[in-house]
Amino acid sequence: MSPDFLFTVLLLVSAVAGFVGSLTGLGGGVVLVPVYTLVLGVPIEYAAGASLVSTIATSLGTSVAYVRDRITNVRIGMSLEVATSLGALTGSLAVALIYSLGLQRLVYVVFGAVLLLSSYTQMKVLTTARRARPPPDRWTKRLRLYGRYYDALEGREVEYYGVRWWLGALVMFSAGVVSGFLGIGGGALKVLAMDWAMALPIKVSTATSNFMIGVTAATSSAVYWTHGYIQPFLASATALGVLLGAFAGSRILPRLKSRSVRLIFTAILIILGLQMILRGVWS
Amino acid sequence: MELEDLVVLVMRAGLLVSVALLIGGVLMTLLGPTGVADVRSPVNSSAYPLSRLLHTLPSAPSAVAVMFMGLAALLATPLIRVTLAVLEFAKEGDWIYLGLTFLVLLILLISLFLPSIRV
Repeated sequence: MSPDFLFTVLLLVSAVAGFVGSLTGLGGGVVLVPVYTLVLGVPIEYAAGASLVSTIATSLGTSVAYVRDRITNVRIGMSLEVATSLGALTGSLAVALIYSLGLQRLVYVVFGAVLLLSSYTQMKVLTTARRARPPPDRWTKRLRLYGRYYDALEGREVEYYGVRWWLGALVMFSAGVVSGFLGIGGGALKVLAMDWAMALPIKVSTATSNFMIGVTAATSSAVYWTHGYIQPFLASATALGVLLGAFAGSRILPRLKSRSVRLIFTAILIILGLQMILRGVWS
Repeated sequence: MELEDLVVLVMRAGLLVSVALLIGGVLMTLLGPTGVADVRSPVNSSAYPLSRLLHTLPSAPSAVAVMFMGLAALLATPLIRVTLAVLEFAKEGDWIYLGLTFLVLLILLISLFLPSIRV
């Protein structure tokens, strides 16, 4: 492949991944890494490295507006970053050990399994109803997990609080491990931590998750950097492409019927997940 | 200035600087000698440690070095954001959050200075 052509292909693939990732809230990495490895023949270390670095760019680019409009709860986000970054450090060191042992196929299998699990949660999103919110607990008071934001759809100020910080932090730790291990943002698990465990509003959860991904991914990127998983041309082209796609996605998001998007995306996740597992088992 | 506004400022500036460097580096690669533009290129971050990046760039501003500077700017932005939060919580005398953000900073610094695993 000539350099110009390679750049065009990388930019296109990553832009599409970033676009789809932002529409579904799963981020670009879950599509990017399988397509890079299975279709373009990129070594999985480089694919994960490029994907991880691009999640920092997306987090910076897309969370600014939510922080400015105070939909992101910066305080709650920062309280949970301890757990995600510790998880990211654990996950990235674990995968570095696995790569150095030459067990790349194990990473393929884990990636495939995570894709299949994500497809299951995507289906669940389609069916879950509103739940009752538990009363404030001692974590709410000690860490002052209160907040308010202006809901443009409902046209009013919404007051909220978070509970069970310890449970949220536990899920956040595993989100960090997954992110560092596979080189993806891990946004779906972060949203689960805040929405399901801490009973925060879904808008606040997604915006805050987006904000936290930068710090999580920076921690594991530093480990990836030392180990040489970041190929400059690949990572640069990918970061620019995913960023472009994510911006486009966030513009279109409010005008889309999310149900059909989710259904198509779920199908893609299942296909890619199975392919990754097959590749890991038979390579 | 509120913490939120400070965060917005840092993220905007960090993204701007890194995108400019990434675009510059990619253009330099496409216009110049192009050994690095290959999906299996052996040129990777292990030869460009973050600690030495600032020393190598001014002497030889190669396409690869410029791209790595852009990527380093991406990594540095969350680090700066966390550092500012630590300072802000210290100023407010908010000890719990000072402790939490300081731990995050510590973990980030550990990840930066940890040696690589060789088996």
